[in-house]
Amino acid sequence: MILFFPILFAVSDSNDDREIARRLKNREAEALGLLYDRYGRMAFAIIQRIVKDAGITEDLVQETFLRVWNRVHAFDDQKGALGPWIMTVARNRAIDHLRSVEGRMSQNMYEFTGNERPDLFGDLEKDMLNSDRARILRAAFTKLNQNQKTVLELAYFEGLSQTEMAEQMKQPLGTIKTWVRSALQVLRSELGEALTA
Amino acid sequence: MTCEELKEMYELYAMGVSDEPERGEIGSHLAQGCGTCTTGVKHAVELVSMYGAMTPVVEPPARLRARIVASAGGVQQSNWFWSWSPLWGGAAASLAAVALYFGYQDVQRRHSLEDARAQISTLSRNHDKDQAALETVQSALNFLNEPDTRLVTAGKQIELPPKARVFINAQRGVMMMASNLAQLPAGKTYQLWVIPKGKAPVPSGLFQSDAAGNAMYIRSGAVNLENTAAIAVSIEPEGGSTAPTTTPIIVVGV
Repeated sequence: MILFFPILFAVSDSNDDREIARRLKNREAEALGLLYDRYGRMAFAIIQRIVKDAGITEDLVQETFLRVWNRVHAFDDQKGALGPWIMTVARNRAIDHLRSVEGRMSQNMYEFTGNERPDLFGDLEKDMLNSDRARILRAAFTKLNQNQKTVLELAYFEGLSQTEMAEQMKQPLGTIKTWVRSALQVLRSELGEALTA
Repeated sequence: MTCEELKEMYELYAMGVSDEPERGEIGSHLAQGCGTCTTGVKHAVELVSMYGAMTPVVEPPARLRARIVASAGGVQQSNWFWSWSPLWGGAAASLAAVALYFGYQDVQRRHSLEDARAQISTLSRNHDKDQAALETVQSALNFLNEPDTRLVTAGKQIELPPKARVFINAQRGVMMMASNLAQLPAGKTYQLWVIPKGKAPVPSGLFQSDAAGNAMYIRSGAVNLENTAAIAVSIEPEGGSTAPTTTPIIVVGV
């Protein structure tokens, strides 16, 4: 069943991630259930959007939470933001699956371990997915033109590099880079000081 | 490259799609503790996360929660396995057998037995149309409730080999119930493999055992029964492997 509202409105706004992380570090398996209650729908939605198969999505959601379970010892439960970390791990699992199916497995594999390092999720706003900034970003996205939206979607939901986008869209690499750069500039600009505060 | 030259690429790096040489350069700056790049990538992580959070919500199946908790060695809290209706009688019988095996050794085992009773009671309430299967379950429930029911074991000192029951449904996938699994060190996980006839094993999911060495895992999705030779389990690095890197500890022929 598809609910027509974005993830950011579906994530609980309570602030007990710290306690969940602490219990996960204590190897309390039921805390993984609590974590799933908070972020399971989010992970499921992102993975399904990428792999477009309900059965595979279930497997990858399970791998996502098991990966978090196995790596939570490196997560800073005082400073870290669990939601963005889980989203990154979930997306990486889905993109890795997509790449293996499409024979692109070797491409960018380095970052698919590097960009989910728990320490990258320290000092982030705990409730950012429900924050005003998230809503500002959503509004900013509507200001992008179709080419700018397309390159961001290809990057996020298909895991394509700019070189791969150029091949797929049959556009010069320079054009793709311009669209990507301008799209990100719009989003950064709209977030403005809120993002850099 | 300088941080100034790299800053336009932070978001692509956070998404794992930046090209070389920028990817390597940012990774190098982060590894060296570069404050500018670390802060920049964290801001990019925020932006990318908020972008991903615009995805419309899709409601996952209710069974998935229990499956995830069980994969980390937790206790089932929902009736996810009833969706396996063609197999539920067998699964319940296996559950009863598992509960019997572990049910009388210590307090933990008594809890397992209580869980089994509760789950079987739930099964009885929800599936009263399947009379034959209910009779099987009722028989198991009566057996469990007999005050004289005891389990004879060889004692904790004897290390039993891993064993597993595997249920296969062509449409739904593979469900495995394993016991006697060793506690794995950090950085290791169990990995399930579906082995097609004459072909390389296909990675089919990761799971952990609980403190008692038990695990239950489902690999959902269709299975070609005619072309499947075996189901196997091996110990792999925590992220899983594309091919087994250790000798499988469990191999079940199909």
